[in-house]
This record gives sequence, structure tokens and C-alpha cells, in this order.
Amino acid sequence: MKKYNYIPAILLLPILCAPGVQAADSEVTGFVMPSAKSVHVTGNKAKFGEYGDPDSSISGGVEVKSEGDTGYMNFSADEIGQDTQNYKAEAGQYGKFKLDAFYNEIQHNNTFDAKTFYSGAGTNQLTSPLSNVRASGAGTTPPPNPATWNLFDYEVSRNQYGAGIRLDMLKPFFANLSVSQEDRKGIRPIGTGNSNLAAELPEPVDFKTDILQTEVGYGKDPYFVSLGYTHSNFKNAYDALYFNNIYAVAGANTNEFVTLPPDNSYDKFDLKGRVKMPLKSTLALGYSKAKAESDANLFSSYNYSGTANAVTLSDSVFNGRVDTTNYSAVLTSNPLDFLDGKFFYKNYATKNKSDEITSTIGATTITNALFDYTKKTYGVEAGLKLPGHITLTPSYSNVETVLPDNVTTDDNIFGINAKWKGNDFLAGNIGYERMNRNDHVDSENTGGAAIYDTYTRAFDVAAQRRNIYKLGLDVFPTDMLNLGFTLKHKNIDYNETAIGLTGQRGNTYGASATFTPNDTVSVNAYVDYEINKLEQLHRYGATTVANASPVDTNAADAIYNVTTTEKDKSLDWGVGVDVKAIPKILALRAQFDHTRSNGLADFTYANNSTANNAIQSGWDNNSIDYANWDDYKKDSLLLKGIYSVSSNLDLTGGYAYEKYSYNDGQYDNYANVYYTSATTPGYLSGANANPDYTANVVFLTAKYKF
Amino acid sequence: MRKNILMFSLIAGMVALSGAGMSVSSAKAAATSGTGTESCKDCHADQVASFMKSRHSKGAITGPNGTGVCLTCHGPNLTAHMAAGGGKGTGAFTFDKKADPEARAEKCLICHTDSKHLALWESSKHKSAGLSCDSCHSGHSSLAKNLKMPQVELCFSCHKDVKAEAGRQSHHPIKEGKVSCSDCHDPHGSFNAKSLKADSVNELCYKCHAEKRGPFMNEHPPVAQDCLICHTSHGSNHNKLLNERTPNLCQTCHVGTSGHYGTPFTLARGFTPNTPTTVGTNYSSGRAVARSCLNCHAAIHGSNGPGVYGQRFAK
Repeated sequence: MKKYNYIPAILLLPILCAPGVQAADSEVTGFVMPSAKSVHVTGNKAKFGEYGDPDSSISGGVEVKSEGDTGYMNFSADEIGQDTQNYKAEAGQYGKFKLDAFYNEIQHNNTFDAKTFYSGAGTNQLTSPLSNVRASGAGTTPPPNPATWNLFDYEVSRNQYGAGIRLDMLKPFFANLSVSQEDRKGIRPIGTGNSNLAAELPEPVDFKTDILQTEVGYGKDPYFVSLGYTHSNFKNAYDALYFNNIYAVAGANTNEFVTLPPDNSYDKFDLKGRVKMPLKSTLALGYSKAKAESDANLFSSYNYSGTANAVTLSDSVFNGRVDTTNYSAVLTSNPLDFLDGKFFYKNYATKNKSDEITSTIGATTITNALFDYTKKTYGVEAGLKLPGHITLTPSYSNVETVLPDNVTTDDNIFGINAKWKGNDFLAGNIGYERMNRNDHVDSENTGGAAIYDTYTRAFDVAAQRRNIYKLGLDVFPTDMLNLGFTLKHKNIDYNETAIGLTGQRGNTYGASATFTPNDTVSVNAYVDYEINKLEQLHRYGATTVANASPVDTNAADAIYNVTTTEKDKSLDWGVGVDVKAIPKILALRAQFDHTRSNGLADFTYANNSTANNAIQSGWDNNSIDYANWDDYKKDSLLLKGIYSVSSNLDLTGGYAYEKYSYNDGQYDNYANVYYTSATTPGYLSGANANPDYTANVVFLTAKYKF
Repeated sequence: MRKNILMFSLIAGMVALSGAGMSVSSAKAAATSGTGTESCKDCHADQVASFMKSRHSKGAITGPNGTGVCLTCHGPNLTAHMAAGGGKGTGAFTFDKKADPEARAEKCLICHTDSKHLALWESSKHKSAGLSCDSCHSGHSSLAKNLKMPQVELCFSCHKDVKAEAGRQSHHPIKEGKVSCSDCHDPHGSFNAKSLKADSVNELCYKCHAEKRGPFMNEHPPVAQDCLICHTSHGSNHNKLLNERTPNLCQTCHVGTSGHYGTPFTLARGFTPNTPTTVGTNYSSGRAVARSCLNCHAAIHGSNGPGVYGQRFAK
């Protein structure tokens, strides 16, 4: 694939446009805002600063605006020197053109001080001198001691830069062009279970993505038309992560690998238009054609537990290509004052033109399955303005999805929404949506024997009956008080799924209030509570048509049902107070937020005994449940004061506190070395483990405005 | 990093140089003269002051035929309004929320009707919901895009459910200011569900997550079809913005008789019965600890790996 380097273009853009930026009159305003923060974190610093810079620092921001009658030139910078710094410059003339350039850093911290017995974290070659590692046994090497492992950080940094130009000087014609590049570097966790070694490994991230976007068009009532082009180019510095299998006996054939995302490119042409017609109608049409391509050198051999395996390939290079075509149309009309109508149609189709590769390994021959699909949507929506400030919006849409292997789903979605603008102190809306999804599954066979197809469904292609109810109410009892209430209920039955996900239920409740008794004080509060429940049924041990049915005639035998009910309860609430202690001089703010989740995974074996290997020895249907299932709790407190020393200088100081705790059964008693059998340990590096933290932050900012 | 900063400094310097010819003098005098603000500020001092900070006050931006700015939006009967000594209902158009949304929008469309950003406004959900331009924008605002308040805060003021989701333990950096609503959604309408700025969910996600795009030799069908089959977009109680905790998420599709598919990975299969100091007979399952299925199926978004290991996204 052809590679592009956009940097010269980024640098040239401002030069090319410089002469046009000249403006006759301008006024320069802006600010300089140095800031300092002292951060003290107990616990997991990476989680505290997941998307930020968790260290004490001196930083700041700058803004310079030069705006005149005809043109402008602005520059701003935030969090200078931090892992999250960003800079932006823009200049232009009103109604003629605009050019801009930016630099932006996004940090994603996952886990600091993760550990691995391998050396080479951050590269794509992990090595260890160990071999023939077993938990026990004469002549074997004992598992490595985590206390001696090498430390590294799971973190990824995105550095983005780009520039753009917008031309409006030839109105009604317009044109835009932008280019950008993102460099992403760091380490993220990846697993390997492709051999008998189970280990969590540090995957090196060294990605570069270039994007070019351009659009030309014409916009003058009643017409609008535009043509766009997008090119995206992704490059990964590594094609695979290599590591030696420490279970294998020392010698040849111990080097194994996990493949990493291949280089790819994407090109898209996008044409859209709109025309306004009589009867206050508009017709909008869209068409796009896109192509995604990749290429990868395939491996003609691989090692497994010290044994080399040759792969005979029909082609040593995989050329991936997926074409996408999209048609869209929307007709809207407002022929009568009380009636709005909307008709829409969309046809989105992917066509996988990638290579079909035949691989032969020993006596096994495999050909990759090419996935593509088509999704057609059409529907109608009406807006009826009724007496009494009521707007009624009935709607209908149909979505047909066609997947490989003759799997299709057909959704019929009916909805109605009523909105009442009410009076001075009350407004509300109520809505209902019903979806009937019918499926056609000739041979879903997602892992079980074909006999299971009668009973099983992958949930995303399963027939379902979905009901959603919504209610919202806004109350304004006085000018000082605003109250809001929301309620949502969701109920899904997978009516043709006997084994798999059988149901989903959800309730969401919300309330908010703003109380402003005078110009000095404002109080706000909110609470949101959400419960979600998922119901699954699994059947263990069935092998024949006769025993595949989940109607269990002998619950105590070795073929039995297990139900799983997962519950997620989420609660968020907060309260804040703003006080203008001394008008235009001193403003105070206090805000407290609390968020928590309480999860449960409730397993129930129909065969509630340890016989026939149903439940492990020493456990029963009550003790096997996960009472802590992605549970967490976070309290955040912010106290802030803004003191205006003069019309030019503001001082902001404050204190922030945050405490986060996480509790999950699959991380309880977390161990870097865990045992899947008496002799076989698995290895974890600490990713996502122990994210609890308590943080105290004191900050001070001075903002000088000019 | 240092190189990047140097590069950016160069860009910023060029932009600065390009505007060197801009003279520093007050634009306000020009903006106030002939626009009506002088007459209005006697009664509406705060409004005029905020307006003068906004981009709408610039001299090059006028209403049709050079109409003064106050008149453009609040006219056309300002003369009657002043003759009556001011007050509501005396001729000045106000952007009262009880006023017809279309009438409010018409004021903005006097100048903005040809905007490419509004090409699909007629088909937008926001229009269907009875919103008008001034629901989100203010002609007096000095914020970017004349928004009434910073974008995320503005969107969250109505979409409170999304605000709650964005606060969950696993979330896109929306509240951190690194992702904004308009990165993914077009508030003025699009051809796509949820006003997405792309023809499909995946096309949108690949803009930032280009490494997921493939195409791979071994595609994981739900991955290639719709990221939202497994993930949620704003925030989740589960890591990686997953809709459900693994391994149960995987078992909503991978349902079967035994082995991985039919086995319930209960607490009895986690670390609990098998701490390093008490190795018992009930050993852990790699499928029930830490990242569960993903401990082994490393290339879950697609693989070019060989044989069944590639097919199973484990190599």
C-alpha cells in the first residue's frame, strides 16, 4: 500500500493561507493561566489518572485571540507539559476561509508496575531463560517467583496532530481539506493460550494512523450537494508478538507468537445532496462507496510445546479487502401546520473480497470463512401537533439484516411518543417502543452439535420481543426551582432461544433538581438508579437429539441445565452548591458525587449435587455465586474558590478528594501465578488488578486576562 | 515528544506570522455603529455586553443587506418596541422557549440557511423533538460554535442517561474532555441512526481504533458487523466498555454442550479455591480469572494466525 506523509502539508497550509488572513481591525484578548497541583495518591495511580496525568505538576494554559471585523487569529493551549497537553491555532476571515492546526495528547493509563518473567516488554520479542517449567516433578523447572519479575507499565499514549482549511470565499461553493496523524505508543495486555502455556503478555503498541479528508460542495437554497473523500492509513510496527514457551523443554521450536493487527488502508467516496421542494418538503439522498484493504504475510509454520508444525498455504500473503456500499434517502414534509412526516430508507452492504486461504496442517485442512452482510432499513415517522400543546409522534421502521450461512433477522419496530409542552410549571413526555425480531437460522451451530440448533441462538441473531417504556416529567413549581424525573423500562424476551440468552430486563430511574433562591446561591442535585438483569440457560453434556432438549427429564444425571442470572445495579447521585459569596469578587463551589455498581452472577445447577461432576466438591448452588461482580464505588469531592483580584486577574484554589474501590470475584485472591492443574501454572501480569485508590489533590490557578 | 512540540511550535509560529498584518485596534466601535446596539444597551446593558464579546458582533457579520445585528434577530418591529418604552409583547422578537421552535429557527436561518451543517436538519431527531437553534446556541455566546455552554455539559443537560453512563468505571474520556459528543454524533442530523457521523457503527469506531479494521483472514463475525454487539459506547460497569462481564458475554453467543461453551464458570472456578498457599483439588480455570476468555483468545477482534488457533483468535 502507498504510504503518505502529511507533515509537509500540515506545515505548508498556514503559509499558503497567510496573505488572506490579514485583517484591517482587530482586538487582542486572551489569558495566561499558570497552575500548580499537588497530588497524593494511595493505591493505584494508573486508575486514578486513567485518562490524565496523575502526578504533581506545574502546568497551565494560554489563549490569545485576535479578532477583527473581517478576520481572526486565535491560539490556545491547555495542560501544557502534561501527558494530556493540547494546542490549537486557527485563523481566517469571516465568510471566506479558515485554517487551523492542532496538537493533542491523549493518555490512557491502565496499570503501573505490572510484571512479567519475560524480558523485552515493550518490544515484540519476549525472552526468558526458563524451560520445562512445571509446578512439580523431577527434572522440571519450578514456576518463576513473581517477586523477581520485571516491572513495566500498561499505558498507551496517543499524540495527534493535524491541520485543515475551509474555503467559503466562492459561496455558494465550499471546500474543506484536513490532514491528521496519530502516533500511538505504549504497552497493553494480551493473552496467549494458543499453546499449553497460558500467560498474560505485554503487547507492544506502535501504531501510526494518517487521515486525509476533503469535501467540495455547493449550498444555496433550495439545493445542497457535496462530494467527500476520506483516506485513512494504519500502520503497525509489529506483525506479531514473539515469546518463548517456558513449558517446552529447552532446545529448538520453543519460539511462539501471537499475531498483531495488520497494516490497513481505507478509502471512501461520499456523495450527498438535498433539495427543498413545495409543501415544505425536502428530499435528501446519500451514496457512499468505501474500500478497506489489508495485507499480511502468513506464517508457514508455528511451534506448539516444542514441536514444529508446518502449514501448507494456498497463498503466503493474505490480501484482505472489504467493499462497502451505502444508499440513503430521507423525505420530509410539513404539508400542514399540524403534520410533519418523515420517510427514510437505508441500504448498507459489505462485500468481503478478501483472499480465501486454504491451510493444511497435518491431516487438517482449513479455509477461512469470509464475512459480509447487508442491512436494509426503511421507515416512517409522523409528527402530529394536537390541541393542548401535545405532539404525538407515531413511527414504524423495518430492519432486515442478511448474514452469511443464510442467517437473517427481520425487525419490525413500532413506536409512539407523546410530548406535552404543558403550562408554566409542568411539561412531560411518554413513549413506548415495541420490536418484534424474527430470525431465520438454517445452521447457526455456534459450537454445539447441529442438533442444538433447534434450541440455541447467538443472541444478536436471535428472535426477540422487546418492549421499551419511557416517561419524563419536568416541573417548575417556582422560578427558583426546576425538577426533572425520568423513568425507563426495558423488557426483552428471546422467544425462540431455549439455550443461551433468554431474557433481558432493565429499569432506569432518574431525578434532578436545581434550586436558585436568589442571585447568590444555586443548589443542584441528581440521582440515577439503574437495574439490569440478564437471564441465561446452559445445558451441559447433551450429545444426542434425545437429550438436547432443555426440558430436563432427569435433572440428577450427567446431562443437566444451569441457569445464570446476572444483575447490575448502578447508583449515581450528587449534590453541588454554588455561592457568589462576594458578587463579582468571590465565588465558591462545592460538589460531591457518588457512583457505585453492585453486580451479582447467580448460578443455579438443576443437578445440585457433586455427583456426575455437576458442582465441584465443597460447593453448592448458594456458594458458587459471584456476589461481587464488577462492583465498584467512587466518591468524589470538589471544593473550589474563585477570587477576582481585579478585572484582569482571577485566582482559583481548591481541594479535590476521590476514593475508588473495586471488588470482583474473578480478581479476588489475585495471583500472578495460578494453577489450572496440579502441574500447570498460568501467569498473569497484573493488568486491571487492584485498581483501588484514594487521592487528595490541592490545586491553585492564576488566570491573567488581557 | 520533544519533536512533536517543536513541530507544533513551528505551525503555531507560522499561523502567528500569517496574521502579523492585523492591526490592533478596537472593533467594537465599528460593530456598535449602525447596528442598533447603542440604542439597545440603555435597557439591555448585560445582553449588549455579552453580544459584543461574541463573533456575531464583528463588523463583517451583518444581517441581510447590512441589517444591524439586534434588528436581524430581534426585529423587525424594534421601532415599535422602543416607542412603547420597551417591555414584553411590544414588538421585539424574543427567544422565549414557548415561542414556536420554527419561528425561532427562522431568525437564525436568515443568515445560516445555506450552511452545509444544516443540510440534513429537516431529517434530524433534534428537529423532530421540537428543538430549535437557540436550544443549544446563543447569538450572544462567545464560546466555540456560539454554544450556550461547553458542549458535553450542554448535551448532558438533556441526555442525562448518557451522563450517567459516561461516569461508569469504564468509559470513553468524555468527561475528561478528550472525546466530545460531536466527534461521533451530528446534532444537526445525518442519514444514520443515532445521528452518527458514519454510515455504520464500525466505520465510526475505526476512525480512532483503526487497528480493529482488518480485514482479517479470520473474522469474528459480530466484530466485523457491529462493535455494539459486545461494547457500549459511552460507559459501562464492565472493563473495556463491555456490555456484560466476560465470560458470560461470550456465552451469550457461544452456547453448547460442554467444554468452554456449556460450562458455567462459577466462583468455584476462580482464584478462590486455589490461592497460591492452598493449592487444592478444585483448580482455577483460566476462563474464570482476570480477563477470563481473553486470557487465551488474544486476537478476539480478528486474526491472521495459522490453523485452528487463528480461527479461534488465540494466535
